[in-house]
Amino acid sequence: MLERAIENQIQFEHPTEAPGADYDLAVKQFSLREIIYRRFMQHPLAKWGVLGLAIIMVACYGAPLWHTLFPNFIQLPTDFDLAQAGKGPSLAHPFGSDSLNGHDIFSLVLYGGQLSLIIGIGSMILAVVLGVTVGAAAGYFGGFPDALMMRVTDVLLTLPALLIVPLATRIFAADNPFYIALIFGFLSWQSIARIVRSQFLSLREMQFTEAARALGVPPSRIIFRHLLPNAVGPIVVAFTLGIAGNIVLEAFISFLGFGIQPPQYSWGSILSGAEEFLIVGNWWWITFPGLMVTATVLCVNFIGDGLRDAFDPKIVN
Amino acid sequence: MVGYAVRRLLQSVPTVVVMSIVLFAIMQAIPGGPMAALAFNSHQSEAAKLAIIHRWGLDLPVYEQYFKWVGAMFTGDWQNSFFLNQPVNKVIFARLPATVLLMTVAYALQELLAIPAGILAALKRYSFFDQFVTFFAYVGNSMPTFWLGLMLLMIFGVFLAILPISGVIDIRVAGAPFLTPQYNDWFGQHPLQGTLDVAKHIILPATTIAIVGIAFDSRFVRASMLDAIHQDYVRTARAKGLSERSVVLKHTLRNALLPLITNIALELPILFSGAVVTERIFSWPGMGQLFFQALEGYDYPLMMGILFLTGLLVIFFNIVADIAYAIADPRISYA
Amino acid sequence: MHLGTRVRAIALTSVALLVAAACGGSGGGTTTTVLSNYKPVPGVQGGQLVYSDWESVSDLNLVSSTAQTTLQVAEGPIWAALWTFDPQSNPIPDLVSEVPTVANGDVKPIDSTHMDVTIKLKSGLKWSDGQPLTTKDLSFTINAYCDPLTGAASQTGYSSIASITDTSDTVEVWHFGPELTKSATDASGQAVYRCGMSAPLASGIYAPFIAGMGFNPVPEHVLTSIKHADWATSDYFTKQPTATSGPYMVQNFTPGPAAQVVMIPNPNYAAGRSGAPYYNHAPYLDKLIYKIYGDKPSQIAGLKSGDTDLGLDLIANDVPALTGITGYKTIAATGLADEFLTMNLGNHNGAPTIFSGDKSLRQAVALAIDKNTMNTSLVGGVGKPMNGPFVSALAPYTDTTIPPFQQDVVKAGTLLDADGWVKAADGTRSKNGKKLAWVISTTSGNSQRAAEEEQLIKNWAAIGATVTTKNWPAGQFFNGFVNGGILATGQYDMGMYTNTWASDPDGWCSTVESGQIPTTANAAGQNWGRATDPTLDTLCAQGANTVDVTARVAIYKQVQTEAKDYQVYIELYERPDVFSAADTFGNFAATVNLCVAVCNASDWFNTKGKS
Repeated sequence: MLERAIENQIQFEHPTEAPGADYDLAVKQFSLREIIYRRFMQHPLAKWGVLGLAIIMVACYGAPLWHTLFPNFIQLPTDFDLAQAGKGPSLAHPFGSDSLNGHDIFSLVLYGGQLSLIIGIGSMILAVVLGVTVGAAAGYFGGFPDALMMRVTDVLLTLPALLIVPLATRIFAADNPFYIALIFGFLSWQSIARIVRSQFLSLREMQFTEAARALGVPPSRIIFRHLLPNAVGPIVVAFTLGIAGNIVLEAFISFLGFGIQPPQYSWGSILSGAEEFLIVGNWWWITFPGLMVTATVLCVNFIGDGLRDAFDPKIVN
Repeated sequence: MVGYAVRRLLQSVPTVVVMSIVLFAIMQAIPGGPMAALAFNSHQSEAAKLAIIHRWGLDLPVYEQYFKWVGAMFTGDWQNSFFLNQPVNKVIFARLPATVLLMTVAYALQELLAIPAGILAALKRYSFFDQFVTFFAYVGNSMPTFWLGLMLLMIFGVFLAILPISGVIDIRVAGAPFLTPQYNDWFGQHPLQGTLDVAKHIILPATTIAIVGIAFDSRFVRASMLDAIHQDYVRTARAKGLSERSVVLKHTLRNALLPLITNIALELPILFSGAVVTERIFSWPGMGQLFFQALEGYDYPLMMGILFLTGLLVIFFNIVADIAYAIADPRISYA
Repeated sequence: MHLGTRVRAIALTSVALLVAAACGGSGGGTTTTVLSNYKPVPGVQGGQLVYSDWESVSDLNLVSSTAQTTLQVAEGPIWAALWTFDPQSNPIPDLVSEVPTVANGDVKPIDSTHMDVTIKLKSGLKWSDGQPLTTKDLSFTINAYCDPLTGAASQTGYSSIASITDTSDTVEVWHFGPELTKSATDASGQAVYRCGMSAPLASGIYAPFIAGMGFNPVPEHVLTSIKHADWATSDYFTKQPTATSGPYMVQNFTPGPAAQVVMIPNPNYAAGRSGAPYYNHAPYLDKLIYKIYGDKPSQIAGLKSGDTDLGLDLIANDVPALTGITGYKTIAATGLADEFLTMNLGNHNGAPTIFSGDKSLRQAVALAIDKNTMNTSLVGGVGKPMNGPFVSALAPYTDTTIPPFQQDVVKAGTLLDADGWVKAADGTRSKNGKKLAWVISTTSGNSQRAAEEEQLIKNWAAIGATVTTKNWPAGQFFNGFVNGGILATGQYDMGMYTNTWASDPDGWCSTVESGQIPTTANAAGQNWGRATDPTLDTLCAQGANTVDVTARVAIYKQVQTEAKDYQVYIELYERPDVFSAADTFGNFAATVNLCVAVCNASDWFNTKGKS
């Protein structure tokens, strides 16, 4: 539901549409892949999104290396200094320290990003697998399986993930990132299933599909060789935007104490004790991890937008 | 038209059935079962526990339990909330007004800002203002709502200390809790004071929700404005020598905003999600806060009631949206 | 007053711990009459007070609620008790003209299993609706407590009353004894519950038992028409209690996470009270409001903005936020609650845990902890590091000769060396090829506890132990044995949580007695650590069977010495309750005992705007 509304609404438009902007694409020698790449690079923000995300990923996944190089500056998540508890930003601790045991928040943000990003990406990989399977099966076979699968999809779109996810983590007592990603994945595949299904419904009756069928090509081959490649664009876009959504959702759930919990750190779990200390004036604890989430999501959204334009069949050259 | 509406309603029946199965399955998946919360209360006597087990048929086979539960849900018997000790539907409906109020004000605020911003951005395409709206839309869309709420709370409630950060009214002003008979009497006598009090409390939570919505809708309005401007009839109007003002107001605007109106129903779930988060942050006594309270208190009947109602409402508004589209867009046939 | 202990979301306690409750104060409830030194100042008439909590209030069910937030408005402001307690836990007569003791002849031991207790109400007491408050209401209330369908928070004490004699409207006698008079049937064949339904008291009867029974009666004339089973859902307990006995009565009540109770003075409160030493005047305030904020930050903001005059249910972490508020003082009081570790001495995952049968290891684990640092860094320095099993509010039983705790890593190391835990080159220890490693579990989603775990893990690393965490949602962690609760079924190595103890040490004993190990047959067993120490079993049985307080004190000192050596629990610190009260708040008494801090609400006043 949420996803559907977002699809309907976020149609970020930008100067590439301006007449003449696609001038060099008029030459027809480019392969589809090259066209997509060029369109993507022409999006004014997408490449910055890629750069930004790359920097964030290198910073986060390189954290153990930074720790080895600068052991006093980048600390392990298990390191803490009670004397630093509740101290604001300084040169040694650019993001300040938390008010409980006095962890360096900058280090936590780097280490925490590892889980936040992997949960965001991992859950959407699962969502793509599930969504493509369900959508393809529904769209290809039609009839009762289609009706049943679409009803399940409807229901999952109906219940707000915001309410279901904390309930699910509570049920499975899941503070393990793997289960969290699994739960997120199981609740994120619906829009992809719908996209794939509608693509299949329209392609199923096309001549090349019928021809393949007539030649006795097995359904799996038809699906994977002929139908699926045509749906790749929207799937990739939904995948990207889903990552952004799940990173935000993880932050919220863990902030509330239902997801990842210390001593494991994600951007959300860093915040799990911060609300209480906001009132004492500890603004840095909550501000910087939140800014990091915003920056990451912004980059992912730039990329998602660029991909949307790159795959948009309406922009024909 | 009526036929289409009826057909659309009938189509939603299987969705409701599947939803009830999913919710029932969730309830079964809870460690200790739906009675877990009762076991948690060690003061509950064995006799009372047995009475509840029997009343909800928890000693029956699973499928019979399901039918019993579904039957109870549709006849309005939503069990008693464990921690509020009152019928769930009563508890929920008592909370609904606060949520509806918050969502309405947030939506009004959102459109009041998004529509002019979107129109202006479309009219002055590629201007600094247009770029700014684009930038704002991106950032607004990327910020976690809960974090945005906390930031606003921190700046305006803690550091500047100019706005209240919790609740819907100041009990010292009103002398009675929100929407109680005493409060309503008091409000009747002091409408201005009462409205100001609520207004002061609603600014931060409503702004939090609205910012995300503004990000969506300003882009939406801009796009449909651009779409409308390029339509033939607008060119014709312009060619006829009508003033630019008249072209924009009479011809473009109406056609540009029509999709927005039909979109309200689709935006409701986003608004609701926003409300759930902000109610938690600002202690707004609505359904969202109730849900998290229920979750923390292991109050499964209450949680299931909230989820069930939310699901029904979303399905209902989906139907409304479809019908609205059908009415608004003559190309969709609903014969 | 409930005998029931108090349950909170964070400091969750297993309520069944309350096996026998007595007054725990310095001389409270003993056979000698101790006059309370509670000295309220005369108040100023008029004005209003707002006091607040942040956790939800679901109903006003005085009888069956275990929620502290409900009791904070029910016990004191709305319903008066037979007697209340001062901060030192000495009883203060409220509805009664004297608290029954052996000395004043109101407690008469008859033989080892029988005892008569005479209750003398003040004469001329009235309910807020003008009806007389008599001994009929007392018998009616006790009878309701004894019916399981009422769902009373606790039946302890009442269930041992074999029968009651109403001598007059103001005097009645409770006959304690083992006679079973349960479940008679009335003319219509419906079961009528009477007290005395419990098995004969194996432990005999001891007088301290009585102090905890100063309950708050409910009106017979209102509730007699409502079936016990329907009390919990009745309007009287969920919406508007129409006849009450406390200084204030409910004008309006909204339940839930943003609950509010608006109270106005009870016009009949002063009836029958003039001339009494305590609670002898009409309430001072025009309006008393109990406000629930829904979450802590909002409550603290409410204190800062002057929105509320008293904040309850605050903890040590809040102290920094509270100290800066002008016009308010922060008060911390430790009492019956402590945070502690439980080592599982039974099996986990089908094999004995590392702690079972290894007393030296348990002692070393305790010695390695830096309790003082934990208290200063995470409890704001207002908690009280512990070095023995009993909290200080269990006086006179708490052994005050135990020295303060000192961390001693060297001694811990020596203990481990002697016990065969060999230190390897990397600092970790192992014994017979088994590594010194375990998993610590507590409630998830609690950042304070996570920080405590982190400090503990660092402490234990210093003695060569590798400790990891596995935390559970509170509901699963504390769930009962039948429902697979983590603690109750022993699916853990080491658990960390808080208990609010009964004010008699017998309650503590139920957590170590081998007969209390939870099993299918004894699902309610409280010995979650699976301790099996014959010495403790013997001493605890002795303590429960002894009437004389001096003899009991001696027995429980031995219990503490043995428990310290046996070391199934490691007490970390006494958990403080923190209050923030406006300087204009008159007669606020911070109390952490059977009486919540609102028991003296009739003496509350507000000098704001007055001079």
